[in-house]
Amino acid sequence: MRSRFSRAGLDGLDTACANIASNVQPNSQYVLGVATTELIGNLLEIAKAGGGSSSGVGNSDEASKQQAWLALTKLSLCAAINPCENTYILGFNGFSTPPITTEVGQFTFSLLRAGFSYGSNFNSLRRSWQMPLSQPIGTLSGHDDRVWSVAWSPQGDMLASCSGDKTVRIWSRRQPRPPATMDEDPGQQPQPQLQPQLQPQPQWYCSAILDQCHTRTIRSVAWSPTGRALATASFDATVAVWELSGGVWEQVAELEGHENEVKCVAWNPDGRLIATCGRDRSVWIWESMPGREFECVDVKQGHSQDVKVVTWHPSGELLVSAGYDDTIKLWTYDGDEWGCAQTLGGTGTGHESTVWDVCWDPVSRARLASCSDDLTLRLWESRAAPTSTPAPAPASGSGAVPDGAAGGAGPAAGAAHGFVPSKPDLRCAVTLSGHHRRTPFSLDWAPTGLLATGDGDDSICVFGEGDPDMAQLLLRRQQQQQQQQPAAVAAVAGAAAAAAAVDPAAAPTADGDAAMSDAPGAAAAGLGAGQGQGQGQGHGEGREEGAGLLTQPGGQWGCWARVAKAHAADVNCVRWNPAEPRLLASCSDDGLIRLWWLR
Amino acid sequence: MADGVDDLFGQALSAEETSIEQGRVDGVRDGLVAGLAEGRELGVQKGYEIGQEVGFYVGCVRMWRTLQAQDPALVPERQERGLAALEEQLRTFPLTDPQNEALWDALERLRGRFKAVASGLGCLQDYFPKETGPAELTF
Repeated sequence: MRSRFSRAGLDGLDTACANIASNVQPNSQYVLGVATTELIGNLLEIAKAGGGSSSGVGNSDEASKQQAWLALTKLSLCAAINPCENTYILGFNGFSTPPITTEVGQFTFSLLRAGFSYGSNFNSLRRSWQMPLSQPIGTLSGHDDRVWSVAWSPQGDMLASCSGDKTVRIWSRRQPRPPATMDEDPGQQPQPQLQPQLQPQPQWYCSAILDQCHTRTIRSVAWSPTGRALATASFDATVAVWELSGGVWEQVAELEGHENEVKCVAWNPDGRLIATCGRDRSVWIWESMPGREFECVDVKQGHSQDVKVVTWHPSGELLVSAGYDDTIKLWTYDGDEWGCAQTLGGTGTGHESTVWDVCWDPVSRARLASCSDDLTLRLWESRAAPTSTPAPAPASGSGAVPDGAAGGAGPAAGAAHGFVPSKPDLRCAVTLSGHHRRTPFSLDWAPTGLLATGDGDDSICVFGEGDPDMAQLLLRRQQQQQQQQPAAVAAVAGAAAAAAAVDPAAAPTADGDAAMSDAPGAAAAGLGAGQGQGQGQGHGEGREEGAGLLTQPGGQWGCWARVAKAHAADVNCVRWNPAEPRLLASCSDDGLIRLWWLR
Repeated sequence: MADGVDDLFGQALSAEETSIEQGRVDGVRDGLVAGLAEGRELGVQKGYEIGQEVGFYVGCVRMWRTLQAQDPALVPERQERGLAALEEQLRTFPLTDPQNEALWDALERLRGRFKAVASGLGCLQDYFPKETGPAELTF
C-alpha cells in the first residue's frame, strides 16, 4: 500500500470535508475521521472483497487496484466512517460518494476529530500501516510545564491534571455527550440512509485551576471515591486535600510528614484512608477524621529505595507500593498495624529495574499489572488461580455475574481466581516484553480488559488478551445493542477495538475480512446465549478476557494498538475513563493532555 | 637418593613459591590487623549513629510521657497506642547485640512508628534534617 499523502491532497482536504458534509444524511451516526490512504485502501479492498461496493473500484486485478491507489493518493481524501451501520463515505475534492456499505474489517486505534479542522498532525499520516491515526479527539493545553499525572473523577465527568507548574487543572465537558444513538425506532436500523445523525463531539475546557498551595511540582493527583475531594502530592513534601464546595475548590487539609518529595497519592475505595509514598522510601497511611482532619495511621519503611507508586486493591484491604528498588510490596492491615504481606521481586522472579506503575484488573480484581524500567509489563496472579481456560459454557454463564468475574464456576466476586486480598500470594504469570523501546512510565487497566501504557518513546500502546477480531465483533454488537436498548446499556461498553497490523505476520486485510465474515455466524450462535442475559457488558468482558474464546483459546496477550507519536515528549500518565471505557486520557512532558477514543 | 638431590636444590628451586607463600601469610596477618582497626572504626561510627537515633526516640518518648503526666488530654487514644507500641519496640531493641540480623528491620519499624506518632502529635521533627542543597532533578 502506498503510504504517502500528496501535498495537494492535504491542501484540498477542507473541500473534501465540505463535500462529505453535503452527503451526510440528517440522522445517521457518522464518525468523522481523516484516514490514511492505507486505511481507505483497506476499506476499499474490503468493499471489493465483500461485494456491494459502488466506489468504482470494481476491478479485481492487481494493476487496476494499484491504479486506483495512485489516483487516491493524488486526491485529497476524507472519509466518514459509520461503524454502527458499517458504511463509509469518501469525500474528494471534486465529489463525494454516497454512503457505501461494507464490513469495516480492520479496526484501528484511530482517533476521532471534532470538527473539520486539521493541523500538523497530518505529518503523522505519512507512515506505514503499523502506525494508525494519531489525531486525538481533544488536546487540552494550559499547563506551563510538564504534566505529570491525570486522574478521572469517579463519575468520569471531570479530569484532573497536575503539573510541574505547581497547579492542578480540572477539565470538564461543555455539554454532556448523548448516548450512542437516540433512535426510537430500532426497526429502521437496517436502512442506514433513513436515520443518519451527526454524532456531537464534547468540548473540553478548563473549569478550575487549583494553585497557590504547593511550592514545588505537583507529582500526583487522586480523586476520592465520592468525587468531591481531591488529594495532591507534591515535591515540597506535603500532600494537600481539596474539596469542592459551592462550585469552588478549596484546600481543606495539608498532610505533612514526608521528609522529601512525595511521589504518589491514592485514596482507598471507601474514601477513608489515603496512602502516600515518596523519595524517603516510606509509605504513609493517613486516615480521614471528622472535621476534615487527617491523621497518620502508620508509616511503612520496607522499601530500600524511592517509592514511586502506591495503589489500593479495589476491595480496600490491600495496599500495593512499588519503586526504585525493583520490588512491589503488598501491605495488609492486621487490625493493629499495616504489615508487608508479600514482596514481589528479587532476581529472576520480579522486575529487573524500577517499577513505575501498578494497576489492578478491575474485572477480576485478582490480577496485578506492573510496568517497569526493564521495558516489560508483568501480570501477577494468585498462585491459586486456575492456569487453564475454563470451558466456554460456564464462561457465558459466569458472564452474567455482575462483578464481571470471568472464568471459574460460580465463585464469589474477587475470589474468582483464588485471590484473597488480605492474604496475597501473587506470582508472575505473564511477562510482556519487546513491545516498548523506552520505559513504560504508566499503565491503566480498563473494565473492557484492555491495558493501556504510556512510555518514554512518546507513544501509547494498548494491550489485549485473546483475539482482537473477536473483540471488534463484540464492539460492533455492543453498539448495535446500545442502539436497540438505549436505556438499558449504561456507561460500561463491553468490548474493545484492535489494530491487527502491529504484528507484521498478522493476516492482511483480506484474511481479516474473511475471518470476520466467517465468524459472525459462529459468533452469533455463541453470543446468542449471552445476549439474552441483558447487558452486553458481562459476556463481552468474559469473551474478551480469553476465557472461552471461540476463535482463540488461551487468551494470549498481544499489543493490539499503538499510537506512535502520541505526544511530543515522554508520556507520563495514561488513564481510562471509568464511565466511558473507550475514552483514554494521556499526559506528557510536552505540557499537553490528549484524549483518545478507542475504535 | 632422589630426595636428597631434591632437598639440595629444593629450596633454591622453590624460592618463588616460598616467597609468595610468605607474602600471603604476611598479608593475612597485616590485613587482620588493619581490618580489625577499620572494622572497629566503622562499627563505632555505625553504633553511634544507631545509638543516637534510638536515644533520640527514647528521649522523645520520655518527654511525651512527662508532658502527658502533666496534661492527660495531650495524647489522644490513637497516639497513646502508638506511644505504647513505641515504648515496647524501644525496650526490645537489640541495642547491645550488633550481630542480631533483625536489628536493621527493627530500626526501620521503629523509625516508621516514631514518625507516625510524632506526626499524630503534631510535633514532627525530622531526625534526618532536610537537605539544604539545590533542588535536584527528580522523577
